[in-house]
Amino acid sequence: MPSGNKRRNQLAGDEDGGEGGLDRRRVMQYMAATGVAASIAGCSSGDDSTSTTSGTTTSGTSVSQDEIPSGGTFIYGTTGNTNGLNVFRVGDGETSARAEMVMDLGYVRESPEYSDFLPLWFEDMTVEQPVNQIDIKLRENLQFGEGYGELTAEDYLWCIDNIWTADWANFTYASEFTVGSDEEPIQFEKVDKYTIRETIPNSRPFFPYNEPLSYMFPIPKEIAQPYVEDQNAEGLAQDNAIMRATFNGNLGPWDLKRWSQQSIMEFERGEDYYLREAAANDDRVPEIFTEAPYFDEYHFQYFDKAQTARQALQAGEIDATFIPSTQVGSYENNESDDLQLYENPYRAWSGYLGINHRANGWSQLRNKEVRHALAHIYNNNFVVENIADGRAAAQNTLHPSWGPYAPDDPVTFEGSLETARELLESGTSSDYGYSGDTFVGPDGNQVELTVVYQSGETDDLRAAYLKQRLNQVGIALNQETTSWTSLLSNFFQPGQKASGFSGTIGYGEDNTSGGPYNPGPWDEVVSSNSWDFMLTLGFSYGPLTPAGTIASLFGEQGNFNAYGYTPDRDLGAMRDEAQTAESREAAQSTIQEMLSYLSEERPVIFEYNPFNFYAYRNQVQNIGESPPESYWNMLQDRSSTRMYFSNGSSGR
Amino acid sequence: MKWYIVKRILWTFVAVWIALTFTFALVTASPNQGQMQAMMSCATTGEDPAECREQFREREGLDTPVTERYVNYMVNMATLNWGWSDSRSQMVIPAILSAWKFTAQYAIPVLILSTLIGYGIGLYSAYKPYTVTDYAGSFVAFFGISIPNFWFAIVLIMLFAVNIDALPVYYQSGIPLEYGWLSVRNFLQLVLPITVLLTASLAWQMRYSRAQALEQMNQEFVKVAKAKGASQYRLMIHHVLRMAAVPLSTSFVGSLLAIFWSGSVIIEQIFAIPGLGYMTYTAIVEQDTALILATTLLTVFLAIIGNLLEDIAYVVLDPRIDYGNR
Repeated sequence: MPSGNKRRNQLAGDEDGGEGGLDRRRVMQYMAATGVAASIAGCSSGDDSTSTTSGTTTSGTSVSQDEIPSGGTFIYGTTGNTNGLNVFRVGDGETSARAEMVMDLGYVRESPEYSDFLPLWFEDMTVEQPVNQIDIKLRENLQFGEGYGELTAEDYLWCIDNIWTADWANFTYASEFTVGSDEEPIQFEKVDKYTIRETIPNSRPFFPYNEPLSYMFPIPKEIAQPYVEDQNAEGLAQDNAIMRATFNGNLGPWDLKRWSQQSIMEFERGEDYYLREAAANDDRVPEIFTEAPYFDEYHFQYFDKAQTARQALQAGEIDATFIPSTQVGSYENNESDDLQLYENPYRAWSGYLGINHRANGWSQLRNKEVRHALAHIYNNNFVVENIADGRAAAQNTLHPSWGPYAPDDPVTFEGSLETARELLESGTSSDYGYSGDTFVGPDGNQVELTVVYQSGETDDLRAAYLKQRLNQVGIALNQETTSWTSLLSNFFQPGQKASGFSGTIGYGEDNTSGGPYNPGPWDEVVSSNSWDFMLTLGFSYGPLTPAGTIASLFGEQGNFNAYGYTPDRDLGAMRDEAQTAESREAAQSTIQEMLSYLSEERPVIFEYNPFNFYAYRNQVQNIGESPPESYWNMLQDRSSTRMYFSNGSSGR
Repeated sequence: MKWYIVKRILWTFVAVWIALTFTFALVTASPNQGQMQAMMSCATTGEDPAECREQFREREGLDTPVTERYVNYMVNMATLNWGWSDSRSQMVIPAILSAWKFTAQYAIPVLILSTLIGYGIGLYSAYKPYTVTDYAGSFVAFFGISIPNFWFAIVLIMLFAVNIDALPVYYQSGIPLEYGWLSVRNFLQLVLPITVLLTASLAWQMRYSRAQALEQMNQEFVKVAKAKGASQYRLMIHHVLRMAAVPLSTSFVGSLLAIFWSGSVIIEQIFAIPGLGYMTYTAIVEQDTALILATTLLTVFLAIIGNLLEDIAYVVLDPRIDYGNR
């Protein structure tokens, strides 16, 4: 049987509407935005004509396929952005979610087993035992549009060599094409027109979960060639064909119909979607896909204010939107609203209070005792119970409590302000201390810190709680709100030399980089805007490969360690140890040791994995069981192609 | 007068040129983010940052003399090549051309309606001060001034869109394209935004015109007109309003820009209108330099043209003012 998986890390916002739906098939994922939607939604104003498809039965439901009506326009209300379909910005999960509307991926994982996946572009995957070689076979009816021809192994190999791993392109996931701390490149070769062989030097039981091709979007080389020759990454990103993915051909369920910046992105049903033919001939592809998708159009409607989106949903003007946990109560048991609530407690997303360890953050935050003080001050149990209204699970490390590697005895903090004061005094340098109830610094003034976040109902409350608690231990807090894009580019991403540093940025003698989000050590490179704490941004990942996730986020040279955290243990080596173990089971103790280490270290203040809630109009069918039985049973994945209106019309 | 207008229009070009030059100086003196990113990228891939800086400067034309870059910059501005907007993922000019219509469709009606209704009620209140109607007008005015736009918008949405289902909750940008900008469906989705914005601007116009009119009501020429038997209409429109309108007209451009900068941002955020206000707000938040420059220049241009129109209005409204020798 074939085997495979997807791997991406994703820095994502708490109120990330669609991201949860994408988690299912990713062991690690990319970046996404707060309050954004991804794989749900649609709307009307278009043609609500109704037709009935023929076929068999749907996957996961008892509805006969010949009873599935098609038609209508589905509208998903999102607070994300509608900034195009540029597949080179897939480090931003919002863009990824939109790109996946017009282009599928390799496959979708459906259980922890290598062999259990929904084959999309990849017809087959063969994993050699021991695990150091994977053969990927592409389907033969994959076509780019606009006359660019067939998608073949050659296109993948060209993109690997010329874009994905090219220095000038600075692709976020360039590091995914190597394995191990010494960054040994994965070897890719063409076996035949449709088959690619990936080989790594040594056996790794997690390799099928980490292989990168399954979540890459190749583009026609004719489009990219001029930019490759000029090494012009900016030009490539601004190319109209790239921005609008006009080359998508039959590679995805939808085609972009209209894009109005900061307003709406409209997709129309792809007429020759390859998966329809595959579903008819391949038993592994559910038959619901033989006529999918079932909406005529699928819209992402952008809202700046989430409240407006919820009001639009109540008024029946849109079909679904994300519901923050603080608002869920008003949607529960409210039958008059003509709405149904979807709950997903299996969200591989860790929310935390980010800490800036770099030189433009408060220097004392690099001291573990101070971070422990913060863990008392910013008490995760309080947040879960009183801010998330119990609709979340507390986390004390980078792993959900339901995950397979959750440590048995994570370090916990009871939220004692008295202990926090003691830790602050003992943990900071000698020129800090209390003057009465005020915690003062070397200049004799009260210590004043800054938290930055994207304003939203939950994050406003989290920031207010942090401010209140810091005030109670004598520290002042400035609250700074910004947009998701700005949060990433101006605060999170290090992009400037640290004050007083004049050398070459990078790690070690060779000045190697961890990538655009971690170009160098904490004392060499900092973000353009200074900050101390960060909310909104958390980390999304699949639960099966936490070793890679941990090293990526908190390893000194990890590609997402923008925090500048410097662990005193080599997390990269521990990751390698886990990933080169004989089996996943054999890796378990190493992974749990890593998670326990993080729990004790608190490089960030671990908080919770909040449940995702979405409200749908009752007319929307096949949204999946709520709550699902497990992480692998979420039907939100590829929901745009599975859902339909009960009468084939939005009714608007 | 004609010569004055010609001179003022010429001065408009000079003022815009000064603003552009000042902007160029600021941009030139500021650290170049793109260059820093290019150097950073090279530094992290083991390449020589200095060499990468030179490559970047060559690619971007920064290796040429500053005078040449200044000329190119002015040519670009004159030919409307205003650069790329990161926050919109499109060129700046198409971004502005796309957004302005969404703002104009409610800002212009608000400006006209607030002027007509505000001045009308203001004059009426001044004509019958301290009566029930005057107090009613004052109540409306203070309500409009006091109530926060965002709160009022949310309440109106709940009432008229969610509960009564008479109007749409949010603005659908596809409707004007499909049904036309002047269609009933487009009008319906503008009712709530216009109402919210009108409440605030109307109140201001009403109070200001009432105060100006009251001041004119006690002037000798009004008493003379009244003694000569002028009708109420003639008295208010031909005598009082004409004089009161002179100081009122000075606030016209300011009021337009105030609507744009304060009201439109909030309105467009709440009603999901993809207009200039929200575009500018996003550009500022996301530090989209090209778009910030463009919107700033547009504001400068509007202010200069607006002031010219105000000066011309002085002469039309009050013949005693004469720019003939200037």
